[in-house]
Amino acid sequence: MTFQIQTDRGKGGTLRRKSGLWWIFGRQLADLRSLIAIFMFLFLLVMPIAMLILGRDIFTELANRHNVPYHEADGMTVVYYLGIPLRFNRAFFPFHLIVVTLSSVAVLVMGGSLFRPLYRRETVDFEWSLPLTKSQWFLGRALALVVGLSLVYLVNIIATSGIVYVWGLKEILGGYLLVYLKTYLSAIAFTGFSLVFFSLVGRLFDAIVLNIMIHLASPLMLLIMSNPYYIGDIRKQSSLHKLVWLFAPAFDTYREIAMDRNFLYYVILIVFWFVFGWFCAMKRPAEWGGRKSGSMRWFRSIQTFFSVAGGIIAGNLFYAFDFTSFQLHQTKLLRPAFIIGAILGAFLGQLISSAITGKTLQRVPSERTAKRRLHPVLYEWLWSLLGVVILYAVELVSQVI
Amino acid sequence: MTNKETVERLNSDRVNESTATINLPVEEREAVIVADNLSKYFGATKALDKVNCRIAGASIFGLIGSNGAGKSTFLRLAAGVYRPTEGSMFYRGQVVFDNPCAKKDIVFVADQPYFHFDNLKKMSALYRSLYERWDQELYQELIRIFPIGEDQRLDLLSKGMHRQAALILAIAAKPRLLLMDEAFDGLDPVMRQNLKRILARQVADDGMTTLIASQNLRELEDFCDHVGLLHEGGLLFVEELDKLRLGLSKAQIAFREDVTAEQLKSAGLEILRFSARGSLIEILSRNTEAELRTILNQMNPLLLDVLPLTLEEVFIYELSRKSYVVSELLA
Repeated sequence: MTFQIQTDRGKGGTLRRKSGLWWIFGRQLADLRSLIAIFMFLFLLVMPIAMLILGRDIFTELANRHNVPYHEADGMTVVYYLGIPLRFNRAFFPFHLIVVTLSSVAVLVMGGSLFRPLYRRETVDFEWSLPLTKSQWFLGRALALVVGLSLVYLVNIIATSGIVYVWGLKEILGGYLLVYLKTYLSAIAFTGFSLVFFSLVGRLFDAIVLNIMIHLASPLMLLIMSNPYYIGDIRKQSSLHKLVWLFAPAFDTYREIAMDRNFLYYVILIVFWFVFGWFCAMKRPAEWGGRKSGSMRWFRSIQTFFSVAGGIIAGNLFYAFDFTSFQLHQTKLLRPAFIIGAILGAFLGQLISSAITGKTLQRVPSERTAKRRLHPVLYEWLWSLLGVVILYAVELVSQVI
Repeated sequence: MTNKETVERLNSDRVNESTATINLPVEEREAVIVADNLSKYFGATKALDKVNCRIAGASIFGLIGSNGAGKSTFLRLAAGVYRPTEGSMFYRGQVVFDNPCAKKDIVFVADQPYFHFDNLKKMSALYRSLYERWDQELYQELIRIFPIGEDQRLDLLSKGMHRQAALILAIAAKPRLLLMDEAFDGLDPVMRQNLKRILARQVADDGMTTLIASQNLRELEDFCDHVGLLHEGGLLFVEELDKLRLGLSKAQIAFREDVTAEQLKSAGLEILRFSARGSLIEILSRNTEAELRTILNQMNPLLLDVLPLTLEEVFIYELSRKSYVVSELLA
């Protein structure tokens, strides 16, 4: 017998009957068919069926209602593509918000269904002992999720386009399809983002809650940092804002209606999140199944994000009630109200994220924790102070930029 | 030591190059599983600590130990579910973790079997599509022995029936290495015997290697070729069962007068355990059965009955030699 280093990771020829990746993909897609059917129906309900119920006249009126100078001033109306004015937002606007919301729910529900086996010991034992690689499992699942979502989008746009065509609104169809495609690509980017969480966490609850928490924290931070009148404001974009938007791809999708983005942006975003998701899946050990995310080492690195968000929100809230600050013309970052709010908010953000992810704040009498002299609550305080430091850095950078 | 260095060292040893065949003595058969300085930590907890062992092909290996000894962890490492923290786990010279080439020969029956589909028909189709050596005739035979209908809802079955369903699928896949965690758990005595018979046949006919982890020594004693004892993540010893029993004897004896252990020792017996209940004495000695009979017959006993040794007794002896507190290990 000759011992050898593992070089063949099962690609090609490992399974003669069918490639491992296609085997997993087929199985996962078959498991997903009920959910695909449900979301297909819901998408049809909120777009083509709703159009038929509304009728051509009401739909046209709804679409035209938003084609006013007020929106044009905020960059939400006509966009020229290859010299052709595309009034896609007019046609799509009545459905945009609900389609984006439904897309996000579809990604979380279908993704949760596909990745759920990772969080139970008996399913991990079963799956990981089969002659398939971790890479094949991840790619098979990711592909099934993308194909499932794509099928939903495809059926929906075929039906909707048919109605738009029959109603004689051919002039808006091109623009309509373009913004629909961008919304779809944005949903795929959110899928990639979600894959990172599905691969990292130990419980399905954590995957969904952490994803939602980040999506709530990011726009709130942006909202307060840039003080826009609404989230869709695209004129006050700085590099820092763009960076923060990357961590809220589902919320970013709401802006597709008003964004004139290059397709390369979507390609880069999708590739980045999928590759990062794959990397996390490769690093994931089997024993993480069922573990609380709060007890995992990687969680510390993202927990500061919640401290920063809590600090920004509470700091600005306290500052808003400090009526003397406007008279003194003193910078916000040096006002006692802001400082107190930032510290309390950072600690609260840290505590809430710890509670949700099951991070224990009690001394555990084990060999390992006995060596740690700090009490876990004090430890949380120190981490939240780090959050405040980052918050100040972020605020300063945002003011400079 | 890096993975490459480990492989080079193992290759330089080149132990047992011959193909596995059950006609060869166990020592000369190819090592199917090789654990080389294998360690697995869960955070600060050491589940396995520098375990070294080789398990020969076409044999039945029993892995025993108390709760938390590391049996299930060892099986999961052998099945490629866990990645070793340190050291390596090889199957026929190949790293097991994340390697389908190795895993296509291995089937793992976990302590809590999982079924992706709700009946055996669909599950058998799944296994058939994954394992090239799947044997449909054997599968049909097994569902006759273990009476589970192909269309029966698996989620409605009892714990024992669940176990049977998992075993049907695992054996019909004809793995070269079958890993079973608490294999007999939940099975009734008839099914236990059936399972032992089928496994013995697969080992003899197909050269299958079976690795069973159990807390129950009595389940393994008439069944395994080799046994290994895990304790607190370390492998205390691996030994051939027949060799373990060789040179040990147990007897019940009675004399007209009271006889002490010292008297038996002075007669030439090497007494390991002595217990007297009234006039009935039970001894465990490190003598062959023939020696035991010769010496005791010279003392004109009223009763001399040589008893079969249980695996538990063999372990008690072996472990006491190694100065371990036996009751703690076999609790």
